[in-house]
Amino acid sequence: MYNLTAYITYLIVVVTAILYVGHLCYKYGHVYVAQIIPEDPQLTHHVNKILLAGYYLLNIGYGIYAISIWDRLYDLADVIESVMTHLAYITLILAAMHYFNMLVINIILKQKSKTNI
Amino acid sequence: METSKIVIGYFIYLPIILTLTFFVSRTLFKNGKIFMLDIFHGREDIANSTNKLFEVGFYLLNIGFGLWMLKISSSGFNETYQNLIEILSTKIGGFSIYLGVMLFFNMMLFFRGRKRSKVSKQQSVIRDRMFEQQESNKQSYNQPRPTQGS
Repeated sequence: MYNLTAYITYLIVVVTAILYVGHLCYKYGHVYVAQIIPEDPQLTHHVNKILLAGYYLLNIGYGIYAISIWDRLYDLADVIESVMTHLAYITLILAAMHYFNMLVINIILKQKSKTNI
Repeated sequence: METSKIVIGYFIYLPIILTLTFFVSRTLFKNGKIFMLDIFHGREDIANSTNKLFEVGFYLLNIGFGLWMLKISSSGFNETYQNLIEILSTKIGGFSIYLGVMLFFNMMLFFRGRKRSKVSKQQSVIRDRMFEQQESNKQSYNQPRPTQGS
């Protein structure tokens, strides 16, 4: 019973968070992709879409996999602890991926500006 | 009733870290937009995007860290309110120190970016001037020189 409550809470929060962050990155990342591929707006759009799809697959995949390695829970404190710990893992993974992405974009932009000069 | 005390602790801890993160990041990124405009030489769209993306990263990192160190039962809790307050103060204090360090780190990034963009702007200004000078030299070279003494 406690496990079930934990799964439901976890899934709702994780899916909402992933969808929201993905939407934000998609919306604000468009400028960067457009700067990397300025010649073709259509291609930019598709590249951005594919990036978003990959992001969703990876994160929701991990979020669902986490349920299969869940411990057995015996009281409310266990529920809160396990839900929050798993949320923390997925949030930290998201943060790491986000910073990594920004770093890669920065490197690509720098190389591009070098070749332009 | 060990459990209910732990649950009370969680219900104190969670709102505090969430509001702390929210207020710090709001203050940082409301003012960060000015830096971003400076860094990207007043290009509104990319400055706005960069600011927003940094904000997302800041939220993810700090809320993730805050939730990660939530667990009370693993830190030797002995079922008294005194112990609960001590453990909570360690956690919340540690979290706010961490938040302060992250704040200064982000500010350092802003200042560094601003400095760099200033240097690159100066270089481009110098380059433009040199180019203009070369062009004007060429033009004056191509023009027939006024003969002296006439």
